[in-house]
Amino acid sequence: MQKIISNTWSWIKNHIPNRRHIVQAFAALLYNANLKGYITGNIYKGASKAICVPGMNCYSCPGAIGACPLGSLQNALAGAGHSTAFYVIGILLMYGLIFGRTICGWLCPFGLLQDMLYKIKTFKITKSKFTRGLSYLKYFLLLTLVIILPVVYGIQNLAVPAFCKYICPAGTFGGAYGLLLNPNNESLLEMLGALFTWKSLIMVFFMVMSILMFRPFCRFVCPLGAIYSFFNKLNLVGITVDKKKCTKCGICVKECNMDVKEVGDHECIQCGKCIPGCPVKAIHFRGPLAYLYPGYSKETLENREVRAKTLSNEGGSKND
Amino acid sequence: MEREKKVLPLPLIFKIATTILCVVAGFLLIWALGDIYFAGKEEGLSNVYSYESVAKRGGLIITALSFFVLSLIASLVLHFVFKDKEKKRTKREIFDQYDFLKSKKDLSLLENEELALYKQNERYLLIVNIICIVLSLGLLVFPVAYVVNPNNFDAHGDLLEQAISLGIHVLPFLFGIYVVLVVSYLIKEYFMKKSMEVLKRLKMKKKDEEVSQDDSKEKLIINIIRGVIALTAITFIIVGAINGEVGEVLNKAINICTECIGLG
Repeated sequence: MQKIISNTWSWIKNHIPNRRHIVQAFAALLYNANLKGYITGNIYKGASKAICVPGMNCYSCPGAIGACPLGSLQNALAGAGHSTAFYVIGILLMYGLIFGRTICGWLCPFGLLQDMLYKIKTFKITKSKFTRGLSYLKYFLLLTLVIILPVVYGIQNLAVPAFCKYICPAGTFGGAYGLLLNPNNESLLEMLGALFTWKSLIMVFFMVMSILMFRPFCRFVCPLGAIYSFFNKLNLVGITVDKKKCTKCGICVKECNMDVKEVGDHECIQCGKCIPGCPVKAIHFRGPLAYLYPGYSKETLENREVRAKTLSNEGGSKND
Repeated sequence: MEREKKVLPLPLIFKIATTILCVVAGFLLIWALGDIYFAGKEEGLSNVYSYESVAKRGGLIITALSFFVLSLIASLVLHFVFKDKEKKRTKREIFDQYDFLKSKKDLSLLENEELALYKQNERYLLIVNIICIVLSLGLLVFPVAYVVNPNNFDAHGDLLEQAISLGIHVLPFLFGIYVVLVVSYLIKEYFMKKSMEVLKRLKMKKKDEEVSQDDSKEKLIINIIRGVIALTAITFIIVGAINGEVGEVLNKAINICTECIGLG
């Protein structure tokens, strides 16, 4: 009996979610705190919706208590003829300066969903030069669907948030299915057509791809990630590399699932996966994340010791 | 001697099963969605989506969802029962590390001899790559030429004979390509290792002082940029608030966004 209890306890200890997933889950819950909305099928109409949340979370989701930054930006740009987008751009600049792409790794509900799907054990499509090249697609989408198209239509007094309308699977998942699965919204079903089919297909595609590869939406499509990536060297909270300690062994880049060329570059979502792997402890968090992390597991610590030993042996013989 | 039968390990079977289940589940969902839409269009219905039309494809949707649940269960079994640990890619390690070091190279710091050695290795690598591509493409011509020739296949002829003939004309060449790739990989690995030794020496040459000087300069520039961005952000937010943009964001957010949910 005692053995069973001790085994169960050790199993529980070994399977406690890591701190990043806890933060992600809390962020998702905080963004979608209007739980009543899921029952009534109505969206929240409080004053907090004037503030944009940092991550990708559709404001048409029944639970959402804040505005989606990307949707707000497109709508502000779409009103180019009669209004400006200072407020939303200011908020995005502020979020970028404080967090950068740490938001993608720690505060985005759609990122959490993709992380969870990736945990399903299948054969995985690993990163390559092709995926690295494809990662620049999000900048193209940012320029065309988020900036140019809304502005062009906005001048003609047409509000077209092109990315939300044609691509955004987060909106389909949280907003569309969140509302449509509620029997109170049966009348909305009658209005659905080709656009809903197209968006649902995109959503299913990204769901399946998230199982087969790491965060396909964040890596190749997300324009919000593209915006935050410009701040990745400037953000106050995030990951940093001690250049004096770094031996440029490349273990961090190899361990990372994103298409990074170095830790902290524009593709880095600052998740900290590379921290336990660094044999010389050159990578660490700056800001409040330094207190939340590291939560190293036993296994990673052992790996780290083994790696440190092998590297010191190799380095001693080759470099000197 | 009795030969040991080679059987696929159970975790691998589970992994194959989860992969197939997930992909099939995705295809079934896509099929169901397409079917609802196109069937509704064909019938000329005004509302393509309704509880009835979805219920008609209930079988497809439930099958897809049950496949997904099955893949989850298989995944959990794999995780908890077999304690599957993902194997690190050992074959690609040398290539990854080489790419990483190459992206960091600063050849101006190298001595002449080292630079010559590095360039020589790079040249050999290029030659091996070119030879590998030429040989592979050359070998590929034969099976492709056989397959695309309609005279080699007869729908009324002996199928077994045709299959054997196809195997004889295709498989040896494919095996040849495989051998070329493996050999070129081994040769490339040898030259990469040699180049990497040179590249690793580079980091020893960078003095700590240079790094610290660069660091302090970089930090100053970054802090100035941060200050400018912070000021700009605060100014933008204040100007936006004065312009009444807060109300506009609120107005959009408290109404259902028809574009976002696919109503158009």
